[in-house]
Amino acid sequence: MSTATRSAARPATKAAAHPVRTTPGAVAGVIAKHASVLVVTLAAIVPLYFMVSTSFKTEVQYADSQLSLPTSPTLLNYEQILGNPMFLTWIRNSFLLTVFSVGIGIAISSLAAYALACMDFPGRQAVFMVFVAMLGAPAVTVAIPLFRVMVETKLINTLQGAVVAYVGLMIPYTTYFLTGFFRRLPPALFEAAQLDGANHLMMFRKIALPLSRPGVITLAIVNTLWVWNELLIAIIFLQRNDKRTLMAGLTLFQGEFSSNVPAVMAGLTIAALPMFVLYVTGVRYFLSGFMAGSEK
Amino acid sequence: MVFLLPAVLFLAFVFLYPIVSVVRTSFLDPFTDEFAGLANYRALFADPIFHAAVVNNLKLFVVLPVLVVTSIVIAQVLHDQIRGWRVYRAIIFMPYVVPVVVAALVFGQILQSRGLVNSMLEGVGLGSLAQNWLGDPKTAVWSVAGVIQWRELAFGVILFLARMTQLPEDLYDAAKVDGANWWQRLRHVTVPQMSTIIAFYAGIVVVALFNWVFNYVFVLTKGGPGTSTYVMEYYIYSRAFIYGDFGNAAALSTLMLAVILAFMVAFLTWLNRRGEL
Repeated sequence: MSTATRSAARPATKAAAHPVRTTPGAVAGVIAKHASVLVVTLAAIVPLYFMVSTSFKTEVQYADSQLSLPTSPTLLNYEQILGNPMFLTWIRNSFLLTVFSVGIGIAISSLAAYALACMDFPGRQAVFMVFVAMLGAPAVTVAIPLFRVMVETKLINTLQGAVVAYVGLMIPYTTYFLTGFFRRLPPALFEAAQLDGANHLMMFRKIALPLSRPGVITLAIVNTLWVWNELLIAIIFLQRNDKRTLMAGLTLFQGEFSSNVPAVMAGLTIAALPMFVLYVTGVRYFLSGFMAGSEK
Repeated sequence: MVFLLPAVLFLAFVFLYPIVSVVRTSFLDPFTDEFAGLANYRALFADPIFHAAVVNNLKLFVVLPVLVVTSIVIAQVLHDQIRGWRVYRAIIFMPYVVPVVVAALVFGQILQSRGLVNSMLEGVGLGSLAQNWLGDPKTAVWSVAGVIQWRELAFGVILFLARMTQLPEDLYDAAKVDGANWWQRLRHVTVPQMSTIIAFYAGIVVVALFNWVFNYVFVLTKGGPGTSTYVMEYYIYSRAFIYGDFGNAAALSTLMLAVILAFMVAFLTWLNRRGEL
């Protein structure tokens, strides 16, 4: 979008229509805008600054001052955390869970979304409504029966079992949003492809998926954030220490080491970092995906 | 149809079978597995902890209007492209990618009696306001609400900012010519234009506050002190997985599912009528 041309056009119109508006009132308005955004910005950054700066302090420095920059930054906390083999196992578990859940979840959801958006079959709307109805169902309400099934099928305390749960839980909203994206594609493209003898699988792979790239990537990012951050399924279905996810591990680790705040903060910084990297690299797609998604 | 099959199988395994099963369990005696009528529901309603959980869920709804209003105002100010808006935007988006567990553990430290909030209050001479924010039953649930507000604001700003860039410019020019000030333009031009997406966001927040606050409560307070931060999700979790009492947990699960299903149907019918589904 042409935000640049717009911002250039706006002050000009303003000046033409109201040449006398650069008054104390307008100045106060600018100050009020900056003040409101500044408050929210500070509120957003201070806890994160606290986490990162504390992670580079010794316990003594932390006790001395919580807000100041670390006077002599130390990597001791990171050494301690990364030297803990359990912590590395948790990172590996979280990483595997996220990659497999998101990969399988996106594949299955996009196929279903294609069927719901681009194929004609009786009961299509009814099936769509079932998907949509599951959108709000809280994970904890399905957790009890799912737990029993997982115990019976020996899927409890396995990454495979958790992947099944995560994929299932992400299907309703992923399918819902991808259906929206696929429905907005021009039907003429599909008709032309059909005339050329393309079947649905080809149209799915060559038309629907590539043209909905921002949407698919946005949902991949949203789902990655969700699985990496998820706690409820993680603590119920992966109770063995060597099967824990990073989030579950950190929550319990906090209980054991809560006296050593800097070490906890180093662990939290490591846990947050991959999502920041993902966000920064994917932000372009992410924003355009949201814009396309909010088109109406 | 083959396209739908994997998704339907997963849904059947993760949602449909568990839902049927939990509804069934809610009518069975948890020990003998015999039909028990409404006994579990009666026990649930007789439990004061359940009442506390419902009240706390309702208290958390304070976050809803605050979130909606703040995110619209902040999105509008960023959209006006005030000096430094890119930096502001980048920082305001950050909490969205911070894992809830990380946010909750950081705030757990910050809100302690000798934590950052209190030392900052003392620093500006407001030491009398200092307290154990999560440890005092009077402030605990509001502190949890504050952490939710901190983490969830960014999503609203992202959503509204994306929508604002697509609003037609001429309406604003017309409003300016008519002498409408910033607030009037926000209230009478922007908000009506965005009513659907605002309702969509509010719907998501309602669902989230009703049934996706477990992570916050589990990490910040585990329902305590006492029952002052119990929420329905935590009630189900603790009944079933800590105390092994599946009867009450299944009864509340069934009730939550019924309420959320009714809400989703009403909400989506409403969206559908506006041609948004």
